[in-house]
Amino acid sequence: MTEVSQAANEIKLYAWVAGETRPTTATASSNSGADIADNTVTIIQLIADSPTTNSIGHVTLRRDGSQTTRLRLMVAGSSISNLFMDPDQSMPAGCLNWAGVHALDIGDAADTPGQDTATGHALVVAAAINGDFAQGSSADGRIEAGHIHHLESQPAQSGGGSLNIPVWGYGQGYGGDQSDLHTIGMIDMSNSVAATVRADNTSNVTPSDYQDIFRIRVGPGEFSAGISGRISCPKGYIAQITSTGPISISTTGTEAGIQAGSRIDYIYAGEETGNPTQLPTNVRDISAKIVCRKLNLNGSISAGVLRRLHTAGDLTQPVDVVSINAPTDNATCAHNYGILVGGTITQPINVDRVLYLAVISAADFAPGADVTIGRYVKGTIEATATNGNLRAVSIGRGSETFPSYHGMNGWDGVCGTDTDADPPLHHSRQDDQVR
Amino acid sequence: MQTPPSIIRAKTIKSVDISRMYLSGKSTPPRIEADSIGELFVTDMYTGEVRGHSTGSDEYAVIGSAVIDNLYGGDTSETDGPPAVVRCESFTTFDVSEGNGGDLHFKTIPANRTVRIGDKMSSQGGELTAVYRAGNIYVRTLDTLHGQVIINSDGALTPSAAEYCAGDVTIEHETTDITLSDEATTGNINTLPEYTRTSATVGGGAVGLAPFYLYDEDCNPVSGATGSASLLQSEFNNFDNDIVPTRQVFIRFYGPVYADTAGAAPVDLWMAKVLGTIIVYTLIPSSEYVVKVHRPLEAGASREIRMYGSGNYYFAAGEYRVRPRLLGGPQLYCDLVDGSPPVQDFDYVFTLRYDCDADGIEDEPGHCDDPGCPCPADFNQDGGIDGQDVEAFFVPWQAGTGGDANCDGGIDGQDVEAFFIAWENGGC
Repeated sequence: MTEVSQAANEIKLYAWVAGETRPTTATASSNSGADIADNTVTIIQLIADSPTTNSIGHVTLRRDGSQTTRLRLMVAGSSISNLFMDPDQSMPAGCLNWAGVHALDIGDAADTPGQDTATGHALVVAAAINGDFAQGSSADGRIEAGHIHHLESQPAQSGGGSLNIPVWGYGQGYGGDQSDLHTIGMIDMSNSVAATVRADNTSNVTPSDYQDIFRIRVGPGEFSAGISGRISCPKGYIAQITSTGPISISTTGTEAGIQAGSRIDYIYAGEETGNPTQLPTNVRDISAKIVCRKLNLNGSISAGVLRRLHTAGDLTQPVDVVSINAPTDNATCAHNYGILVGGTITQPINVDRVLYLAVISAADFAPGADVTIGRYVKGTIEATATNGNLRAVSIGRGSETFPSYHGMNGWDGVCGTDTDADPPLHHSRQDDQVR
Repeated sequence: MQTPPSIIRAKTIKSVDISRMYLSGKSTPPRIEADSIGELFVTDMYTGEVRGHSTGSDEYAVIGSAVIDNLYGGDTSETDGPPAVVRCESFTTFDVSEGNGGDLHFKTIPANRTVRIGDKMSSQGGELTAVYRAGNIYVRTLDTLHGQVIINSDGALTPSAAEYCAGDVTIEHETTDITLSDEATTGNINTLPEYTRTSATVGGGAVGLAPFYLYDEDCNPVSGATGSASLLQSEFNNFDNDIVPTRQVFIRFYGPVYADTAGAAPVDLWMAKVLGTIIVYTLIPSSEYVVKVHRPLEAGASREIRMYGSGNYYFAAGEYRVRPRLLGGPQLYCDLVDGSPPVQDFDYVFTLRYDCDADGIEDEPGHCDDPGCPCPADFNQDGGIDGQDVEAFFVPWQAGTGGDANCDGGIDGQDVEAFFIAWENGGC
């Protein structure tokens, strides 16, 4: 039995087995307890009669059967009948607003959400809507699943385009031993991401166990509200966070606004120029504490690389990462890697290990915006304004012993063509290696 | 597109603290570029450059305080690179804690500023096994060594001049620069550590190898000067009741010196007396003269001491010597040198010319004699005051036939005292 509950009226529900043809008639059109008397279905698609006016409330799923067999939930227009494998491929909208989904149990109901064997671990969600991901009048508002492949709101009409309910993916990330999907594939909002986006589980960290976020995009409108929700991926990597509006994430204490474990490829505020050597044309600040550090069970650090952060505005919260470096396997020209800020950096930049083939630059560094590189630099640290100031800069004084490389090395001055500078795409685990 | 160079660059940098600057498998050394750097700390600078901003007015950086443990010559087991280079416009303090095998370029070395090289003007070894290189110091504006360079500020007590002064100190100077080095020059005019050119020719400053030697040529009067270059008695005496302005003796060293007490004299003053064929030195009580020297809690540093009479003592004409204290006690120590060793043994000589009437004009012997009571010092009237006068005095005095030195009409013990006062003072 597969049961879907709390969908709104005027919604058609189709259920079938992946690889087969979608049924021509809806399995259900009511709003509660739709019981699909078929444990073999692997795709459920919800489609509003009018995707620009009909909203879908919060969905809960329950299934008897294999905990590992994927169940795909799509909220999408009828012109597609399966997931696009490419997570950033646009889908037709299936409704106006949606209050999200979570699983009561899919597989072993004794497990709690977030565990590797958890209920809902096999659930894959993809949704395209015309309005907001919001709780609305539903009793619940969230999106929780093993994999959240695609969330999209790029409405043609005005309004909408916001993610206002928390998103939590806890399945294994792309490139892992068991997954061909990103934990969170694509979140594509025209206006804002205002709620927490989390890719994480509650299991211990092992080399084969991590979650990832491929891409969070807000825009492309010049006046988008930007990102204000926390983005957390403490064990894995985040490929891209781009926003034409400001990235302004309030946190308290040691909490990070943007956190990753192994790597962050790209954080970009402003309208993308398509030229990685240029800063964005619009001035949009980044005000989020950024942390990238993967802790092992024994307390050691195995990774934590920030590849690029670009903004024409200010960077007003601390950055705390293991390393900042260009990819070592395919990037020979790396002057657009690192932290490139058109305005002022106002808080410290702490790098445990290396700044390698990369840059930390801003027009100015405010008092207290000290730059600390624990081990090694082969790159540039620069205040670019005519009267730009650097504050305290420390290199090679980290607590970790690293006798062979500590300090500041020279460079060659000549490079070839950088074939993978922008934008970053899928990655391999080898990229996570740091010096 | 280019790989980002290894540069730390800004108009101003509050502080830079780097464990090591080096080349490993690369060709272009790392750089620090800024018009102004508040604090610069580098432990091992195998290569690389600290300089002014590339878009600034020139290639020199203003540095507040610099501490570099080692500058090396660039050529290491890792790579064959250029030597470490620092280009400094001005600074508050500049310390190379150990050896300098690199090149230090100073636009000027301002007065009251000191460049300290802790060890030798050369370096080698380190973690990257640097090849030996003698380092250099350049002062790049005409005759602007106004301040001080100290070599061996770590205070090794018996430094070899050949080793410690292996590198050159070159001062921009008209058509030909002045290069002070350990290689002997004619008259040792440029030979470290006891070069003989005056400090005025390089800008008023000096290069000193600690413990510091006496800088004879830079003293005033020059050590051993006689004739018109020497002082008059009346100039040195510092009496209030004469018309002669007090003139001090300036004794200078190649590096800063100080006394470790608030008031005691850190040197001895001796007067030379010729007794027959021998010269006897009489120690002048330190209460009879004043020594001005850099003392504890005083700001700055100075490589000179100044001496003049206390105003209570009549210094006889003749030769005097200033030497380290004979019996220990407060000594003259090297300032800005770790461990504060005493200065090298020295012997500064000055002469006071005869001005018995204190009119500021040198007098001939006997100029002030009273015809009714001739000065007893030159008792035998041979024109000199020496041991023969003592003998000439005592023969008639013991016989009671002469020796009324105080002209009181009697011959007694007071005449002996009067004679010796005059004799010791070299005249009346």
